[in-house]
Amino acid sequence: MYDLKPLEEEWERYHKKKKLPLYVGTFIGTLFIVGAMFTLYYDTFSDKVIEKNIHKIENNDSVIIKGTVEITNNTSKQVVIKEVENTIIEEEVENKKPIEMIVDNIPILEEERKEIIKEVENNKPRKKIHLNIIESSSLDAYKDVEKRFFKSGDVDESLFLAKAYYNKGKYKKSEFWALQTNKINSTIDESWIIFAQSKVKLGHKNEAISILRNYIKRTGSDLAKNSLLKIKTSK
Amino acid sequence: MKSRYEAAKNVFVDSIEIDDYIELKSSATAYKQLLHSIDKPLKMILLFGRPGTGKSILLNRIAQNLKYQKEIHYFDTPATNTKEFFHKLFKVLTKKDLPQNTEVNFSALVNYCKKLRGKREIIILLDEAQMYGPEMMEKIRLISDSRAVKFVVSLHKTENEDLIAKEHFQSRIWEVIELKNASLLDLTQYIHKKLLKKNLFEIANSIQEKDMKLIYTFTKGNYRECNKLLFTIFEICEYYDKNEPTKINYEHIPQRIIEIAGLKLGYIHV
Repeated sequence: MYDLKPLEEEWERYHKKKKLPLYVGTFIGTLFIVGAMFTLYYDTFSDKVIEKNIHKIENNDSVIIKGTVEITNNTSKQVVIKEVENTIIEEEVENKKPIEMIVDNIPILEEERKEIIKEVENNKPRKKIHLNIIESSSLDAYKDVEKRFFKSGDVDESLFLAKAYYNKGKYKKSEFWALQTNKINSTIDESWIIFAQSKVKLGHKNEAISILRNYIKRTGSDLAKNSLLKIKTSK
Repeated sequence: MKSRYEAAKNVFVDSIEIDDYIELKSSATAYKQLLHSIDKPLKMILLFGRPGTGKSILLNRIAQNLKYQKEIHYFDTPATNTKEFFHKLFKVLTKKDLPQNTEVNFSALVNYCKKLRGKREIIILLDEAQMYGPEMMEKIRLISDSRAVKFVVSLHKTENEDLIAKEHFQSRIWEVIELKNASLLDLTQYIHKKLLKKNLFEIANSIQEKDMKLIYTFTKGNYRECNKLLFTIFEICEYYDKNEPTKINYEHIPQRIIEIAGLKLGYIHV
């Protein structure tokens, strides 16, 4: 009978080696499951936060919603979903500087701008304003908005998409979503301007000019006039 | 005290004894095929397969079973040279020993065989025929042309030997019987039948299906390898039974022991 001790030791080594892929596989599998669960939880949690914030914004301050949207448009960064909460304290409100900065960046009607400033001025000095800025540019987020639009037919959703896609340089999509907006509400200057600008970017300058001319004829919009002038003078 | 595994171990001592022959579906087919070929008016029959596929035991069984019906002779060990081979052949044909200091004249032997045609039919079973050189094989073929002597040539199937079989013999009228390694089912039956033949049914039952799969993986269905592995497994079991009984499960042979045997025989490596 031969000595079994060395064979047993060899077997121990063999067994450990044999089981190694199983342990590694289990570890990777666990990591994957935990990762998937975390992602799922995070997505659900984020959706809830977004919904909550949108709800809050809609109920509290429509002025800030507009500001929020424009800030998103002016930012070219691609961020999945980011929530920035800026608290503007009393002194800042008095100085009006941060708000003006935001307002200056908003290419909206002069009347609306005045209203915004007025509203800010009317705020009591001690009152805190919670400015919720939601940067949402991921394709998934856009798809969610698209889904919501198809359910609700809300022009705010379609206009948001038109602007967002325009800023991302997806002019075919911005043209589509501006058109959807125009079909539902044909009096939104911004939507017609984005529609025309998208046409220009897609190489249909003459068509864009014709669209804006017709719109101006119909509504006499100053904003559309400015945009038409810009398109005409652009190369 | 004797271990129960000692008897089991001895079951798998490699031998070509007729008592150790296990009737399996595949081996029964090969046996019938060979019997049928022997009855045909063929001059030579080629039996080939990898080592350990049961060629020798099949030839042995044929020789044993036909010894009272036909003039059959089993050359289990190959002759080291032509002289020795013709001495053996001379004795078979003439039933006489060759006188001392004499040599067989090949032409005379062929002529003698020719004279036997229609009178006698002698069957020579040549095991390990890969040991015979091409020149010897050519002489064997010439003797078989006499139609009085029929040869069953058993060859190992390796790449080179396959070539010999193809180039040297295939052009002649040959019946070719190939023995292959056992399937998992065959091997399972082989192990069980071997143990049951010695009334070791408890041990036979202690080898489960997954153990059989492992044994099959190690041995690739080769009977000789299987004998070697089972012998080692039961040897290890015997050791544990005598020295460390806590390490053995009498109802089921631990996979660990099979793997240790596999390591010992080099089927697996760390």
